[in-house]
Amino acid sequence: MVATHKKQSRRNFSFRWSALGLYLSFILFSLVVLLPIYWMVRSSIANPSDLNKVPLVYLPTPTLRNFQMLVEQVPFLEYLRNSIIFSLATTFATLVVSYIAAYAFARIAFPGSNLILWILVLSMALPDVGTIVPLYQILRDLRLLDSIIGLTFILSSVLTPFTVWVLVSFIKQVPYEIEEAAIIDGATLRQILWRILLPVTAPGLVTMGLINFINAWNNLLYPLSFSVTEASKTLSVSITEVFAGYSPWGKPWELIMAVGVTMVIPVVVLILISQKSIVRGLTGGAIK
Amino acid sequence: MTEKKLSRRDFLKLTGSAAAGAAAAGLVGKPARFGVPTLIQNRTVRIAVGGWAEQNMKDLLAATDFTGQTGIDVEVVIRTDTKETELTRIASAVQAGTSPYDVIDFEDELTTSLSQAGYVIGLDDIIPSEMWDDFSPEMVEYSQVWSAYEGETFRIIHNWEMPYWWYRKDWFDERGVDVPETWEDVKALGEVFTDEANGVWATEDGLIKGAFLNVYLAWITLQAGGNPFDVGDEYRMALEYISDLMYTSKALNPASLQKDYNQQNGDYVADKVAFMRQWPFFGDVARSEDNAEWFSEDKVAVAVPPAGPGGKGGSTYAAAWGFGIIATSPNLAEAKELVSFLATNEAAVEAMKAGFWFLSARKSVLEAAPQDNWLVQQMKMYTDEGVIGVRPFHPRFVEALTILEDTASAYLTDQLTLDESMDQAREQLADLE
Amino acid sequence: MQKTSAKDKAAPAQRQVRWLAPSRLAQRRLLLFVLLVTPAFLLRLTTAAYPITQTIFLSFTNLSILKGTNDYVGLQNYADMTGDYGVQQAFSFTIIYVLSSAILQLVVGMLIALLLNGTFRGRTFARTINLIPWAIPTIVAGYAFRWLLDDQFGLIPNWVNDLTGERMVVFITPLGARLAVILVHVWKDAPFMAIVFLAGMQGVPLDLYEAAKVDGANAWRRFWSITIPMIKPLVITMALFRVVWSLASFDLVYGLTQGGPGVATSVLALQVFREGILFFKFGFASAISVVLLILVGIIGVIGLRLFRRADVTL
Repeated sequence: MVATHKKQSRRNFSFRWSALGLYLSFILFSLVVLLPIYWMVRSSIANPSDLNKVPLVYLPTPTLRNFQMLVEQVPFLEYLRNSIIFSLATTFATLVVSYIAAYAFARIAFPGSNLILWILVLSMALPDVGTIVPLYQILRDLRLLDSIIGLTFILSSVLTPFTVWVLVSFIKQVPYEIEEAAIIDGATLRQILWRILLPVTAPGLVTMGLINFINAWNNLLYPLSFSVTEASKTLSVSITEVFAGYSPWGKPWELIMAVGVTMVIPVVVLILISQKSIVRGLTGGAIK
Repeated sequence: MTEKKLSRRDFLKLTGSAAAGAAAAGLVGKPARFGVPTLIQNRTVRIAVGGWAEQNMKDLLAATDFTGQTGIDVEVVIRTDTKETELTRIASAVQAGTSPYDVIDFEDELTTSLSQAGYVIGLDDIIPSEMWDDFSPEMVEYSQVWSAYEGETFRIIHNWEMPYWWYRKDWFDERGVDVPETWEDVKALGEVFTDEANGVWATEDGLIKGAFLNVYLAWITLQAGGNPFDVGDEYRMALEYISDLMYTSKALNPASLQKDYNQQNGDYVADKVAFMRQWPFFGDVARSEDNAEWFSEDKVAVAVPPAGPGGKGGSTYAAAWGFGIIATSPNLAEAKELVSFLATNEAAVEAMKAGFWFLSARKSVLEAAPQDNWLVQQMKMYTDEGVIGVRPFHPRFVEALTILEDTASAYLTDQLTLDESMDQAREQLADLE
Repeated sequence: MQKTSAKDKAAPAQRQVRWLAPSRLAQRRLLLFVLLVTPAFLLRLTTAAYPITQTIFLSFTNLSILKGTNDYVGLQNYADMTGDYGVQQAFSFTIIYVLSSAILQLVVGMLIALLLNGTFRGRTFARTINLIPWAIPTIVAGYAFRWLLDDQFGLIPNWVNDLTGERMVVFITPLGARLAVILVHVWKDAPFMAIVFLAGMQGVPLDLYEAAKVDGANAWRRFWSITIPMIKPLVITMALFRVVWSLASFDLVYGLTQGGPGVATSVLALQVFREGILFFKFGFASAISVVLLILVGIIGVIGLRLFRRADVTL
């Protein structure tokens, strides 16, 4: 069995076994996760002719040709910029709105509040694709078509129910005694949210921020449906725009993989940064 | 308490650096749009073409000085590469009474849907008189079926192309076999070329669902002399033939059912396929720099497809792309002016010069086209041989092709018997009426 | 202001904001609640209320742009659905797909979270790569796996061929295609479960473990009696939303199999896309959406029940 906590595993005989198990699962895990990734990366940096060879070319001569073609075929910098703004704005808006709502659900007992929580889930039950026609009308009326604000508005709303639910769980995990003490000391609500609760729920907040960022970063349907020009199209849309042989037919696999790799790199950087915050948030918030 | 501060500072730092990144990113390229889109000015028209034709369209507009002549600014925007993704955009926009662009370059599948839905407008009153005379008879016949609805024309085609029959002349010569002329010949080639253990097959196709499989079903049924959407004897023959090729004579790789055209082409240039049906873009792919080492004219020879029971006249069919105007376009008058212009002989010729995406069997275009070009030669060969039939049509094409793909794919993977598959197709197609 | 009574500590389920005494200031508490929840609700109201009411309304009409019909037809669409081969098949596979992948994702996600919560060299590495599958756009992932499983140049079929001599063609049997869709879904989304569980595990107060250890509980017992109860609300939330999302999405199936072979991997959301966007049959598509809505409603009620129970037993 995989050990869950560091101190317990140091003790005795079981140490070796749990450590061995840990490393074996680590290796298995890494293999399963990385194998397809390796295949994608390898395909994105290979010359297409190396992709159609048997025996397989495991380590092709690296080339940036595919990335170069990607940049030539789509307005890459504009798309990248839009993706960044859209994802950050969506993350921020969702977190703020959800955090305060989650606090209310977690700490204020109120008959019917669970019903409201349920309605939040139900409100996202329609398949996305079934909602785009009415959403298009809403954006048209708000004059927010082909704009990043419009996209942010829609996606923040879509991500809110889940974020609220998860944050409710996180806030409920925090022993109420901390707040209690603060309240006795005469803290205001703002102080409680910002100074007491934020540090202890930081792992949850950063995690949800990361999740929402990635959700926005990868979202294809909304930019595809509501964006027309490079003023608001995002990187994900380029999946539907790259081409081979000057025709719509030959969806070029190496370019799609280049899109995929390009989209993953910023996320990996973000994960690395947020790792630190999650860990520090944890030690910083040291409970009790 | 100090520790808590630290973590909050981190939190801010994270947000701050991210925001700085966004700000830096904001410095590149055209400004991002945050709020109300700029109002489309008068005398501006937006035309949506695929990324593959963007530069060509810009070149064409520059070469003909359309803006200088008419005072209409043209903005070229990019449409997506499949009917599914583009319909997602158009359906919602038009239902909302607006349109992301005025003019669109679109394919057969979209034409039947959009024209019947009233999402694009009739063009009869803006088509220049010279255009129909300039079309080859096959193109006229084709347009009457595929670009029209209830007698009215909804699309002006500029790209008219057919699947070609590509083969490895070097392999055929080496084995001393002739190019197959009948279905029986094709079956016999399974034994000649297929080497299953090494993944080599006489032929292969891109038969994944999503309008790929349908192309092949229609192509084979046309060779059998019929229209697959009738679900008649010809369609039955076609399905039996395909199944025979896959599982009995082993000429057609059954894995084709999981492939798209990109995978199919990949297999061909990897020396895994002796011959195949493919759209002309394969010629581009084969001749591209990526395949320079592999390429020789011998490897991408083109012959007339084997004729089926229906005779030589329907050995292949043409499909097309063309221009239409979205009914809810905010700039209808300008859009009409642009499309009317694009339909002229002059524009058609200039367009072809800008790129072969605009190659069709228009007389003026074929005359002006470089005669030594492989694609022009291939098109002439097929036209001269008289092997181009009319693409099998169904008035509710997108739905009908989905029904055929579902049922045929189930038959070819042994989930339904041939009779069940055909009964179901017939039943579901009847529901469309 | 009223002091919190000791009773509250004993009954953690009733940990509520007490600085406004319920007896005197119930209205103010309500006001505070409303104030905090309003932004989230306003957001949902503007973007969800209209689509939902419109969808329900349309589901009782035969609005079809191509047929040119738009009349009230009562429950006709729902009746039609029971006879529609595509919808039936999609319905059954949707259930298989959603349940099996949700369960697998929960289990695998939990295992990954346990691993990532352990102490070993390379943990940062593991935590970083963990999220990559989830960070890949779904369509790209679908496409990548189609190539990874390609009969000619796919990595896995090649290895299988080297080992067994058999040529592996995954997507031309219903079983192969279904397995592939489910497993790719697990590969892609289990890491997402894992990271939320991990964050939850990290929020579990350490002294609980210490106390349990003093009582002589082994790692297995500590996991079941501390970790699981503490993160139970999270587990329920994740399962709930995983199911809701899987029900409503079709992009993986779209990228991987297009619902084939036959209709073996077709899901209801793909049917909504087809009937609505591709065929312009907005009435019928809306009816399928409403079926999904009802499914989600039921699952939501179950989820909420569990959520409340988990909360009480905490």
